[in-house]
Amino acid sequence: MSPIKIIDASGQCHELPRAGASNLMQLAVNHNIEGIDGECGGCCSCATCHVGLSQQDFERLPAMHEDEQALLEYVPNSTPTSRLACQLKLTDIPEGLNFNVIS
Amino acid sequence: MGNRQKIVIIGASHAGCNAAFQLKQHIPGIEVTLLSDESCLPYHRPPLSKALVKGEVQAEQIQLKSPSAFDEAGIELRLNYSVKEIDRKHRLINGELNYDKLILATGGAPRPVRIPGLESDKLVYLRDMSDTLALQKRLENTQHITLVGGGYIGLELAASLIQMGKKVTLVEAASRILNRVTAAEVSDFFQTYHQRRGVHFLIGQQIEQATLLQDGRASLRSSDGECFITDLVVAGIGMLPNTYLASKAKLETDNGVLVNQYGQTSDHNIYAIGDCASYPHPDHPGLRIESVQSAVEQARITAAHITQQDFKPHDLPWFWTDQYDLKMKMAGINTGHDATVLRGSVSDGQFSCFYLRNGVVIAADCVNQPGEFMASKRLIAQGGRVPAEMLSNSSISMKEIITLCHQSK
Ligand SMILES: Cc1cc2nc3c(=O)[nH]c(=O)nc-3n(C[C@H](O)[C@H](O)[C@H](O)COP(=O)(O)OP(=O)(O)OC[C@H]3O[C@@H](n4cnc5c(N)ncnc54)[C@H](O)[C@@H]3O)c2cc1C
Ligand code: FES
Repeated sequence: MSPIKIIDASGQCHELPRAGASNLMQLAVNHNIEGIDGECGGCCSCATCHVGLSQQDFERLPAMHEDEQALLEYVPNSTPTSRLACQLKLTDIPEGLNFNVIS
Repeated sequence: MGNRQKIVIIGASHAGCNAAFQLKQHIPGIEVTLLSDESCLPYHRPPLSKALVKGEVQAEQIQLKSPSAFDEAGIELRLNYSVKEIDRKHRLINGELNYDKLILATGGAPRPVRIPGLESDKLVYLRDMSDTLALQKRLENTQHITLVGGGYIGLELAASLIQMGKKVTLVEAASRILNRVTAAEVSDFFQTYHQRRGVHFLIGQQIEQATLLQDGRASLRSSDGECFITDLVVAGIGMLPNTYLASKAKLETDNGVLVNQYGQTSDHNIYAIGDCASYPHPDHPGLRIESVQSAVEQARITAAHITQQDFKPHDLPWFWTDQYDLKMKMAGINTGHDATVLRGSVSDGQFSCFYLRNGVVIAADCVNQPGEFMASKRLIAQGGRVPAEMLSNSSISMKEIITLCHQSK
């Protein structure tokens, strides 16, 4: 599958090969992407793995678990198309999506 | 010096590892050497008492970074490297490694417990990867475990062990579990939750005497005279910051290495971050916080200071604990509160406990309420008085409360 495109906190675009991680937070942390800290290790507690998508891209992802939804409701700068990267399995991310780091 | 500064970091866990990557992010040309006396790659510590001990994840799955990330970032990681000495005059580690700036990120070690009659091989601690892997192995032929200490690590272990089908007795010397950290209502809730799942509690008691039995088990006697037989004792009564190196190098210490708001010790070329550092929180001077978030925040601030970057001040402290299907998240520091307010349903295991001082929310414990936790962080950071009747009323949303409380400031 093609790499995943992610635009970091300072606007730089990275293309990350889908390897060495099981979810998008881990992948971003492994590549040292600015703005993705993954403090809680992916247990849906910290929201330091906040990403945004276009409406179209957002709809192509699997639905959110209620914990993710509840956390995102109050996360600073959250939008209706925000996600937590640790909750996105690489195998569930379709081709051609663009993620923006929100910090 | 400038961009070619040589930075040495002692300890490669949440604090040290994050500092290393942040430094490289700010100035790619900076030289960073990261030293660890452990033999494995840096890893997330919280799963030790949770998913890892239960075998739900493997050691490689909780690594902080992928194995190649250090090389790729240009960080020199040395495992199995124990620092014995800091020579401040010559800026030299173990007589062989030079530094321009040194970061101590040495964490802490379990506070030792002494139980008369108990041999050291029956008494273990849980602080690092090797402890956890050793414990896991021993659990294979262990039925009954006695936990000493009813803090977060003890309770998380109790939950994990029960889920693994073990029998558990938990001994707490204070008058309730989580005594120093939560309100009585929250302690009671957790105790009941554990009791329903089979944990036997000895509260307000200590193990006074142990006798080894012929079959290899131990018979323990508590201060109230209760006797029981156990296979293994695991102690979790807190930790002591690793300040040995700092003291030896004559840096100022007092329940941790004393640092200023940038993490600098009494020697301005040496910083200390994470569990080993006593950081001057504006509202809580002298409080040494032990949490992943605090370690990461201090790493961020110190890395920015060394590379002369701007940085945001320390965020509101927060912490989490997972036990069974309970996820509790705590925001703020509740020391000095004069009232508590409950919101939600304690009996359903979905509630928050707010801590107020002079009518202002200063901290919150949120059990299975991730949204309320995030909202509380905002509410606390914003300050402002909140009427207790409003907080306890679940039909008023946290959004409304935040807005109203903002207007009332
Ligand atoms: C079982 C357990 C569960 C936890 N659960 C949670 C949780 O759910 N949420 C949370 O926020 N926090 C939790 N914590 C606390 C959290 O893990 C710590 O606050 C955090 O690890 C602190 O990071 P640190 O880098 O400061 O220190 P540490 O993680 O202690 O790392 C210090 C490192 O330095 C090394 N070192 C020490 N001295 C030397 C030397 N002389 N030479 C070389 N290396 C040295 C040590 O071996 C160690 O690897 C938990 C801790 C434990 C033990
Ligand atoms: S890494 Fe903490 S919520 Fe995603």
